[in-house]
Amino acid sequence: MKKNKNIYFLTLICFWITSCEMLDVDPPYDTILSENAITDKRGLDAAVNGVYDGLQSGAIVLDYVVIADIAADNLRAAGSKIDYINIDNNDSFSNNIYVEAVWNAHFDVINRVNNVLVNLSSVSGLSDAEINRTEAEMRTVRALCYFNLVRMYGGVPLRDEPVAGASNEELFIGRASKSETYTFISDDLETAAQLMEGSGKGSGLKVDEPTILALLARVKLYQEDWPAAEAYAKSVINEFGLELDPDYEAIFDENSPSEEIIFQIDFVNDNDINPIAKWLLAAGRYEAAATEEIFELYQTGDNRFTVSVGESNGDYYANKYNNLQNENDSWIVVRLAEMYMVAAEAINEQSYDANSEAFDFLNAIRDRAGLADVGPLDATNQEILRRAIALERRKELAFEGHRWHDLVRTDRAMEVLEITNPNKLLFPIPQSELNTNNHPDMVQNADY
Amino acid sequence: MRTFIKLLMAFWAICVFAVEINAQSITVKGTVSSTEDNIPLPGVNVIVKGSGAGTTTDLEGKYQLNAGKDDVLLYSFIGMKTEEIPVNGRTTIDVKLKSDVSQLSEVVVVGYGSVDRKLLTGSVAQADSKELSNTINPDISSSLQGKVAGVQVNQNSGTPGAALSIQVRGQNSISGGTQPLYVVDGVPITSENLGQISYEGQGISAISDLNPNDIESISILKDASASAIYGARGANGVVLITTKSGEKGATKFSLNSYYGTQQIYKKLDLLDAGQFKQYVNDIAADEERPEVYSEEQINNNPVDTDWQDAVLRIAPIQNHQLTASGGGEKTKFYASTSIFDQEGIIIGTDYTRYSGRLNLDHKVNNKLSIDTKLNISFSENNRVPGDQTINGVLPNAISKPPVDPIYDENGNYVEQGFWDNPVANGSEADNVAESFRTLFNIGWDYRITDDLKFRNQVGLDYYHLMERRYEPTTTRRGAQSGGIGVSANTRVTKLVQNSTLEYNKYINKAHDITALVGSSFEIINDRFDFIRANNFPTNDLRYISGAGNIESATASGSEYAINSFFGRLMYAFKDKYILTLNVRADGSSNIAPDNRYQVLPGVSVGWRLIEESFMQNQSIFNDLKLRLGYGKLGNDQIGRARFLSLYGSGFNYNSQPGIIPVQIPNPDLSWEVTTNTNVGMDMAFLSGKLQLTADAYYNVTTDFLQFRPLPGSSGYAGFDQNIGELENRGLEFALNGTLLSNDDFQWTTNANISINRNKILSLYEGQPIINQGRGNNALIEGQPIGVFYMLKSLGVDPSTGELVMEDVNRDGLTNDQDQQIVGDPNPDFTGGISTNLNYKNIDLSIVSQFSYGNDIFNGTRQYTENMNLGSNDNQATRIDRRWREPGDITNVPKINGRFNNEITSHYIEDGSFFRLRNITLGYRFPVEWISKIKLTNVRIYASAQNILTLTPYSGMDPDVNYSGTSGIRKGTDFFTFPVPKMYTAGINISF
Repeated sequence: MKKNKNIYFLTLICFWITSCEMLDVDPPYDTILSENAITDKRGLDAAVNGVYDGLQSGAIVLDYVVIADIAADNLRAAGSKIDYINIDNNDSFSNNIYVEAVWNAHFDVINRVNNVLVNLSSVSGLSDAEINRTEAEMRTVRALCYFNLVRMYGGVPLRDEPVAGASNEELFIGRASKSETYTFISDDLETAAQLMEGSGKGSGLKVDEPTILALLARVKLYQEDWPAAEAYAKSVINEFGLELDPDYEAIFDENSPSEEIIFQIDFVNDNDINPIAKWLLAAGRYEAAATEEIFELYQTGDNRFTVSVGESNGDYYANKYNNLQNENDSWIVVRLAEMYMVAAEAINEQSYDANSEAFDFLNAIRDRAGLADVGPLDATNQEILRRAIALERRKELAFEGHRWHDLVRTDRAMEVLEITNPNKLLFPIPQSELNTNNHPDMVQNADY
Repeated sequence: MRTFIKLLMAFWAICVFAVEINAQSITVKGTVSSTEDNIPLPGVNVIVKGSGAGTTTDLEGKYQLNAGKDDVLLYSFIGMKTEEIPVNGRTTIDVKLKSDVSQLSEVVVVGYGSVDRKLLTGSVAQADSKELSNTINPDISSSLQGKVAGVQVNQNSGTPGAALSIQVRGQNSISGGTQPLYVVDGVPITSENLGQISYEGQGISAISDLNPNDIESISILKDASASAIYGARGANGVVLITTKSGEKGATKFSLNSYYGTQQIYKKLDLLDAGQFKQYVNDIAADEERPEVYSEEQINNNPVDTDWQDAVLRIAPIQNHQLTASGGGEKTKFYASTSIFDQEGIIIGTDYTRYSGRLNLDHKVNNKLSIDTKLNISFSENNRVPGDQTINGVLPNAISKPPVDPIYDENGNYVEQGFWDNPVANGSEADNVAESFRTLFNIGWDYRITDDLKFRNQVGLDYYHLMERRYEPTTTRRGAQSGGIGVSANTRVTKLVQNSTLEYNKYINKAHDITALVGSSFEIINDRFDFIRANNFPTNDLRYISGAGNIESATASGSEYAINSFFGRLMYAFKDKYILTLNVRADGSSNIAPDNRYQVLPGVSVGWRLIEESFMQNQSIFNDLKLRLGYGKLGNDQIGRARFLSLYGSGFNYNSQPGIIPVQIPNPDLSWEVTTNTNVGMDMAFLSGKLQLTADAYYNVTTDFLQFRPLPGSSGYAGFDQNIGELENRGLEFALNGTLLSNDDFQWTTNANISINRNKILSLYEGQPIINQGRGNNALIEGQPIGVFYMLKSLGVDPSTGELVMEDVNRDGLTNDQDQQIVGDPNPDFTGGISTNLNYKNIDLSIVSQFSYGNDIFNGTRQYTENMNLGSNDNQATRIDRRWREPGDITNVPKINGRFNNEITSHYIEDGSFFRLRNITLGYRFPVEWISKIKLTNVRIYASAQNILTLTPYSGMDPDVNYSGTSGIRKGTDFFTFPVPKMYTAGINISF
């Protein structure tokens, strides 16, 4: 019996080999605890890169860009994507996957920005200039995201702090009004402009001073603050030594970055792709086709023609994105030609004048396209010039994510696109947001 | 925690010391023979009652074992009535067994041990090798289809080697893993699909690495009182697999081979070239465009490709296995090697498995014995892209217009139109998954006293999956990128240790006590890498090294550990009153530290009324037992470290590293707990010729783990939270009957039916989770998991030809507000009927399976009948019945109808089916013929599988789901690879 007791004891020892501590395992090896993530400059730089990575989302560089032309009259849904077809018909449901993806992707970037900003003050070993620059970059990216959102959905929830936990106060935020959203955007951009004043032009792959001013020009144009739009556009055109690229085609050549591009989201060695060429080219998946209308719009001799639209066996296709093989077409966020168009429009909207500078800015774009100037004899009043500028803008910026927003902004969408219900000029708030956000001010747009 | 351990120790102390130890061991030997013909019976199990210790008889029917003087010996053999004989101090006991098909005499494998079915109080289903052997599939789960009450097995896809989904008593979790725990020879194994390259519902089954022919029996623990011993991971049921062991005696060899062919059961009726051209013209007319094809072009079709025929084929399937087993007093062995090879009925698909097994049992002395089991397998699985891509082979074959040719005049693939050429994709691309699997375990049994046994078992499960894809420039997608290559490795190692101390005692011929305590830990680590690249110099260089451009490269890993203590106490009084207590405490690294340990108890009682005196004078029942069980089970399958706040890496920009916040913390993350109540009854009538088992159960899962979607405006998609409750309640009936049994003719049949009702009781703040997957599955309070939530089609308006949607809120608009529940993918009931006939040397078995009342969203029709995508897509011939002019009464809408390509109930169908799973006819050569050439058994057989399916479902196969084992995306057919029908012939030879 005594001997047996010893054996029982040994057995118990055997059981005790298992210990509780072995349950404290490391988190997955591709992750790091949040508290250790942004503590020094390396971590901060990585988190900033993470923000730009967010802008590489397919919902932004592909869907957001393509939707602006599908919903309008430059592209039409041509493939298997039923949700594109509904956007084409200007009759999306709130469960449309692109409506949801665009919403989520932009707020994802906003959250990444807010995480950088909240940690900025605690990062060790940063100079004031580095802190200012980072804050300016982050605010600009946040403003860009909110600007994309407000154009598509109207007023949206405004966040300037990251979500750190799962409390209802943090998670449920109602929609701000459209004007509050614009105020938020302007504040961010104006603060950013101050923080980065005098820093000049950068690589074009990250936010720099001209990027901030160019976005301000664009935002002011949408707010119809014509003098401000004009002033910001002119300062971008004049103060940074930027030139229109004499070769229109070169703007869209991935291999030699054009001086005309102010800010672009690039795809090189970063685990991301932009399959937009695959979506648009007839030789690719061809999910969205160029309309016959845009094809017919370009005159022969317009050297933007074949760069913009192609034709293959009677199929028209958008031709600005060519990188079928490596799927690394950049998303050009803003380029100089748009500033010329903003300046022309902002000046003309303030007043018509036969000697108006508006003609100069418009004709700079037409010259580059190889087209004859438009003069006061052609555009004899403000309305005719307004139309000429709008047409030029359409041709210059086709497939770059502007058309729908321009039509809506200038109150022409219903007439041009034969939309009968004005409430369809806003996209629906995604159903998933409405289902999960219990704030009383999180409401659907009318007629969805 | 410490308190708990103290308690547990106290519990052991009681178990171990409280009972008087009083046993003098003697050696008992004897011969077992059959009453009918006095022929010695080899392979009879002789077990010391209550201890599990025992032996089997040799070829002459002889046995020898150690037993206590007062022990009772159990003699059991399949097809014979079990005898219970007290030793009474005798050293020689000869026994004669009577013929009996009663299953009540079986020994049933339960967690960490086995129990006489008579004394079983939990709900356990068991199938032995005989029942399992007929079904032809590399995955053993397939052989359970239609066989076991309460176990719903769905094939999901006809892809060779693909994972099946198994639900034991309904779905008790949503995202916390829905598949049962697989335990092979006492070691929980890796069973999930670990492929990194997605082929949608055609996941790789890690269970396929196990050769079904090596399996002796499968036990399925269905209720908490049975599976509480696997506590934290038992909520979805536990499948216990026992592999074959050697038997004492001369070495036996057996050779099993079969060969067969497979083909599609049903093709879809699609338009031919002439019909398609007419259809394209009709669209043009509808859109007021000029006609595309002239009358002559419509009537004259030089190209009329039947793309289904082009990608489908008659495919061979074969399996060859050689087994040797035998042994002496001390050492027994079972060794087998096998090759299984199945080509898929779709070009480019096949599955080949090479496996070997060696099971060794060695008795060191009367106290110590060692058993080791080693399984090594290597498999190669070739799949083709499935339903979610535009380069899928079957989807493209269905969608691609018949006017497109396969080859041009030079024999090169023609790529035109929206859809890739599926013949090119199926024939040219590589999609290889090679798995290497080692399952090894070694167990040490030490008999401390005659009543007390210590067992320690250490197991290793090593799984390595290497995936490679190459899309050459002869495919459209490959051509666009100069060739696309992917290389991915996944390795999972699992180390398991468990130790048990088991005490058995049979006291005063009345008190049968079994007590077991144990501990176990498992350490699992996952490692993976993944590289995707393009731009290859030539199609002869198909590995990543040849690529000019790396698109993405990742590598990482994670750890998971689980630590457990458990115990079981079983007490039976005169085989009449039975009490079983189970308890298990699990700690899991997946759970937040504050909630890490969970104690899960199970209790069940059994009352064998048949032993009561008042039952002695009745002649209706031959057995009658009532069972009642209650217990709790857990689930921690939610991924690693989900309770921490984390940043993720690899979110790079412009060649610079980037990190982003990926997870908000949930320090409250806890176990998902299922509480289960089970009432059951086992009955036998007509001298045991008819047996009925009936069970009713009620499961409530509380705090089920769900990826809780967060508002997109938070920047996060969601996080894992314990957010809801769901219930499953059901009834199960299993009937076994021996219709005839005499020397020449045996006829048995069994039938089972299961009814499960699943309901979500609560979700986070009542928020429904909708729009999940292709079929808009939803989670809604008060509804079963995965109901179809979409617009409800009321049919085609005869005046407009448009599908009319029900305007639920009567606001005059049709939009998302009008979505409603239109169907349920969960069946009302499922079951099967099988029958076995033996007449002299001829055997016939038939297995069938049915499912009733489940709906399917036929996502294929959303494309093949939408008449809305212009000339891109071929259509089903059904569109011929479409609405053409006012007054037409039809259920097919007009061309370009507003809702034709929306997800609506128009595409919901009844998915009920009855399927003849297998018919096998065999012939055993008479012994007098084959003994001349020194053979002991020769049987030839022919078998037909899936040759008949009765269903109202219009798609290729009702037993599919495009999303595989997903817990939410259910009952949706989206161009899914159907299960083939199969004819095979085989031979079994033993010598």
